[in-house]
Amino acid sequence: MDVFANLATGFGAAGTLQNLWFALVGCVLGTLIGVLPGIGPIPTIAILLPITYGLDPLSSLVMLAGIYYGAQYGGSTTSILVNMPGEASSIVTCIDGHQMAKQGRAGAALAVAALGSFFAGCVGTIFICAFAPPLAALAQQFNSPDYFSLMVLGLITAVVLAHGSVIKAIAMIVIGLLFGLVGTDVNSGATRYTFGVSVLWDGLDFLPMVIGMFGVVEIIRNLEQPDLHRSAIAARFRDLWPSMKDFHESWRSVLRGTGLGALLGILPGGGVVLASFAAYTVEKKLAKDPSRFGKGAIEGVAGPESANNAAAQTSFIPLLTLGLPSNAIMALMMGAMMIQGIQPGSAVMTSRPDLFWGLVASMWIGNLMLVVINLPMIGIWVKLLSLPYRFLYPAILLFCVIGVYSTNNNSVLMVFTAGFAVFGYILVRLGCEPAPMVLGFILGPLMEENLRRSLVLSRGDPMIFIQRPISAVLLALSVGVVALIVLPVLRKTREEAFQE
Amino acid sequence: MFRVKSPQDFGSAIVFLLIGLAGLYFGKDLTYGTASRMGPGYFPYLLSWLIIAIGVGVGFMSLTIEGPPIERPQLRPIFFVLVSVVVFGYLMSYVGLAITGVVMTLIAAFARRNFNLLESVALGIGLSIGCVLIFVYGLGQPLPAWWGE
Repeated sequence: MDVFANLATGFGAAGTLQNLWFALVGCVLGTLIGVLPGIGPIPTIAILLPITYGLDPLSSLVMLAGIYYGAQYGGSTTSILVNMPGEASSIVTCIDGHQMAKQGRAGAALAVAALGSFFAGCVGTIFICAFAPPLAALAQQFNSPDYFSLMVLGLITAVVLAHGSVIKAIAMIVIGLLFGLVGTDVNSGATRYTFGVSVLWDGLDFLPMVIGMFGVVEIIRNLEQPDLHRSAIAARFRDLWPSMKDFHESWRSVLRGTGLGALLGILPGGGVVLASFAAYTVEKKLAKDPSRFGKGAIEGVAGPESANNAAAQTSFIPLLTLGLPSNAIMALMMGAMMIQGIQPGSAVMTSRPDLFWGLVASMWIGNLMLVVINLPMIGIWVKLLSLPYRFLYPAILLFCVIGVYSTNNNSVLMVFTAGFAVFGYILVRLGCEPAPMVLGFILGPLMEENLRRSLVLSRGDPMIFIQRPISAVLLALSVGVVALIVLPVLRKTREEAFQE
Repeated sequence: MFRVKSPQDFGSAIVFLLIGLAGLYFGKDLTYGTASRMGPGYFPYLLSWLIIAIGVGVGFMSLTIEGPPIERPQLRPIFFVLVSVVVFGYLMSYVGLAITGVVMTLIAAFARRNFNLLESVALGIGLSIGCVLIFVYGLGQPLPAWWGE
């Protein structure tokens, strides 16, 4: 079997001392930010990007990926013990997880969340092995028009599956695309929207944008809230073993959550948040006695926690095979790859098999590390939870600015960061979700290039997007997705799903 | 008469229109080209018009569909957090990370109402030492730790 040979390559690449170390760093950092409310994986990955410039590509990807899926583990701890989601993907875990903790079953909830996540992570990795090679093979037949249509489909699906207003999210994507064009046009050499500022000639650096719009805005918004008194319910390692009854009640939920999460993770815009919400809804619908939900049903922890971790793994599939980031985190990973001189897409698997399979193998290793980090070390994380926000936010802010500043030691970047923070704050106040903008920003130049090449091929005839079969199918799917959202019945289910 | 039913959407429409118009205005010197030979201005124009169109659409929506109000922003956290970010960039090139870190922490601490000088100074010094050790000496980032570097 090819897969086994490939996996052997992967484990060889990921198993070096250096890569194991960076996987561990990523997983610990991910757990840390997952546990701490007020900082999520997006600004954390952005802050660490400059540090990865000096690493080799595999080490940096292994670490950044570890942060992303590590945060899914850590997020559940805060949800269960404090009734406050450490991450957006753990919001639903609060509902039943915290009730379990109040009833003295915190240990069982934490253990089921971690073991369910571990199982889901392993299955997610297998999913990548199974689906990535055929998708990459398909992608090699793609031509410029097909890529353009693929990006249209990806962006539209991302918007429809994300929460909030669809039309505003589309506007955010288009604004992101426009911002992505700042800098020197590769074809004509003309500078666009640079206003004579020389740092803009190479394009708008995405660190000030991401850190300003996500890191800094998040801090400001947290400071606007009155001080919350967080009281964590104590949990010790020796209480952690779930009973046979807990196992019996939750294993089906873990399976369902894993399957659902793995599928939703592949979809553009799907990602971890949607996966956890969908899994909770499914568990509630399938339960013999739905009234137990909200009062400490173990299925309500097992399902969503497995789903978000499965989705965290499989959301790498579109990026690694099609070069299409499915959410803002993947857009950052794509940025990290491009900085290292690797163009994400179908070619990665053939030209850098060690990179692709190494990353896949590292995810499995990372998931194993995370169980160890989360279960026996639970006491440390609980202690961290009692750290008040007034000590936390100056530290987060300092890390944010050091991250931006260290890209090229230019104080203009700090002004950009502040500017994007203002912009991001206005957007949030106006009910516009800024995450789609990052997707547009990363894809802007690629979309323009593929549009240009397509229209050169067709001598300016836009019909080429319908005449080519692959492109036509992708565009038809895009129209279908838009139609779905316009249909009232489906819109209603979507609203219900997000309201829970 | 017109009545804004959804202030959030109305505000978004204004932001979208401004960005779209800025895209057209500041891109007015870029060559448009033709479809078969796209100039540097082709795609930006396309996007700018798309943003304007969405802005108009959202604007109409805001006059017809009821929506949530815009929450009143609190200026104190916004002001001090942003000032601390800009001051950080300015100070770094003069005095290095160790001192800048303390100053920044102090400014950021003002973003909360119950400012405690002693606590903030202690936190600032602690964070500064930590950051210099981690970023400059540990990770070897090309950051000046002290002045004159």
